[in-house]
Amino acid sequence: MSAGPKRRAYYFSTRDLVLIAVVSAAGGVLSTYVGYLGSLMNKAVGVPFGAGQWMAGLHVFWFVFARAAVGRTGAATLAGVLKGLVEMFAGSTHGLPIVLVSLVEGLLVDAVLLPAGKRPSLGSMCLAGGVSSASNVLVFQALYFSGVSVGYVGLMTAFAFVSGAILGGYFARGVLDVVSSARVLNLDEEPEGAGRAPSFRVISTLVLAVLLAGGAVFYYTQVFEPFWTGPTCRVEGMVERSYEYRPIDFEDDSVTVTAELQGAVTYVPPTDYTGVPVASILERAHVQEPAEKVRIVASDGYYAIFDLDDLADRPEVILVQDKDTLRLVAAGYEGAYWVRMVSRIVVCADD
Amino acid sequence: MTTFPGDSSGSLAAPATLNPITKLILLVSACVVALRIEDPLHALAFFGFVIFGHVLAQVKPAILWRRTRGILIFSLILFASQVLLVKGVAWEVRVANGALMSLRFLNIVLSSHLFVSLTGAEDLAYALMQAGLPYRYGFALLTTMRFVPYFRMEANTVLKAQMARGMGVDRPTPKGIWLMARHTIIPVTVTALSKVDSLAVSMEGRCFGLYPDRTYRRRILFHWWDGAVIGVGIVVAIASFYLL
Repeated sequence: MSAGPKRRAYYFSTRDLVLIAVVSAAGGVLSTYVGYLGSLMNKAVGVPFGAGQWMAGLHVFWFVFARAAVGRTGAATLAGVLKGLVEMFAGSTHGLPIVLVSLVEGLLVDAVLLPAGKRPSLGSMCLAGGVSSASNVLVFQALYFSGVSVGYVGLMTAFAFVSGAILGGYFARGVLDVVSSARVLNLDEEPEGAGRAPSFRVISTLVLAVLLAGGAVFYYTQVFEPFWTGPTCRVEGMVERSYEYRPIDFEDDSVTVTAELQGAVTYVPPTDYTGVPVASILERAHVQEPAEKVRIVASDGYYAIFDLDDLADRPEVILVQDKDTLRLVAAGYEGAYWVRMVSRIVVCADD
Repeated sequence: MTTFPGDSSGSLAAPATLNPITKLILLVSACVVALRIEDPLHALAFFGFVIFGHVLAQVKPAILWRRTRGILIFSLILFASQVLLVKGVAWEVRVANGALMSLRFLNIVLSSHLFVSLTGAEDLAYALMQAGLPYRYGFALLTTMRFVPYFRMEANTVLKAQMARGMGVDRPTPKGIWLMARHTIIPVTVTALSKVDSLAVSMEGRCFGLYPDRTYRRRILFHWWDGAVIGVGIVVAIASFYLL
């Protein structure tokens, strides 16, 4: 009788895969209920979203638990994908993005616990839970809520981090201790630090720290754009590229002109104004032929019409920031052309 | 929203005959396009396209409404919050931004709903395995999905039992969250873990994982038109970066 083929050695054993699968299934099922409680919390506080972030840690609990119970890097990522798919197929209110959110959360748990060895410490589990939980705010922000103030996003991220540290890290460690002491799950007990030289752990921690710090420096110096909460106006009409004008994007084009407002009723003596020439703003939009006029429209419907060629020759016609609004300073024009609360710049063929 | 994955093999709807991987790639492409759209009118047109997809898939309007009314209400809240809460921007801009945000959310969620309505998780897992995903990981997905009804029943039982004992596990307060975590998640986790060893031993006893490959009794077919549809989906997604 033949001995048969030899059993292959895999990175994740069958038991690991089953553990990850059942934990993901339980997490996917309970996430629906956690989401429901989060919605109730939003209603109780009176906000459309955000307050439910106090519950966010319960979503990442499963990833931290799976990683700690299996003791191998990648377990949290796999649990993230599986839990996300369960939620999507179970009818999550987020659809496909929930898979992405869960994947990122799982990846971050694995990344943070990478230097922690087979049995991570309580502190590293709390950190992993916090970071992972906070990431959901940023992913959803990137997908949907582009106009939310940075303060509110920061508050939600902080809520999610605290929730993740407590419910994702601290609680996961407690549950792991409970199931281990009750012999529900037989963990391969390994004293912290055993199995690898301390120097490896220190080196891997340092490498990770350097990578994270380097990534943060690169992100904030090369990629990050601060959220703009000031006034904006839409540049549209006969242009190749309609866009939302923000003074912060034109800081290098800023000029200072001295202008005198001579209106039928109002008179303002010569004053220095600093702003961006309308000609520069239009240049970025690439005006199309046969445009001839530019209509500067205020939020109350008032507007003034300028000749396009005339504006091109007058860099002293500028858009200035006036507290929370934009104001057109039309040096050389009569007062009726000085438009307050500018909301749109429309390039058109004629009046 | 609760969805009920369809059995593509029994449906006569045209989209249901596509390979699950094709449908998954189409869903990803649809989400990319939905996120790239910056004009509310384009987003509205895309919304009409997704609804047309539901019509093609023969999803009854009453069922669609029942499953997605919560989503529609949430998108209205998103719209209202954008219009009413954002300061320092003209109201036309707020309305346009609110409409775009709500439609973006609706388009992504309804596209996902269409995918789930037409694709069973089991079909997706088998299609992925037949396309090259190691079958042990595909089986992990199948195991996860098969445990869902069991854990759903178990979680429901635990929740009702704790509520019957007077615990406020259904209250959206910090104490309620902690009670829920402690007295609901632990029992469900213990139940889940109690299955691990017996199932793993049972699978290994049946030589699961003995060979690097496996055979399939049922093949999920990949037709030439799947390739064409995938190509179109990818081209549209890439084009959205240049045209929108």
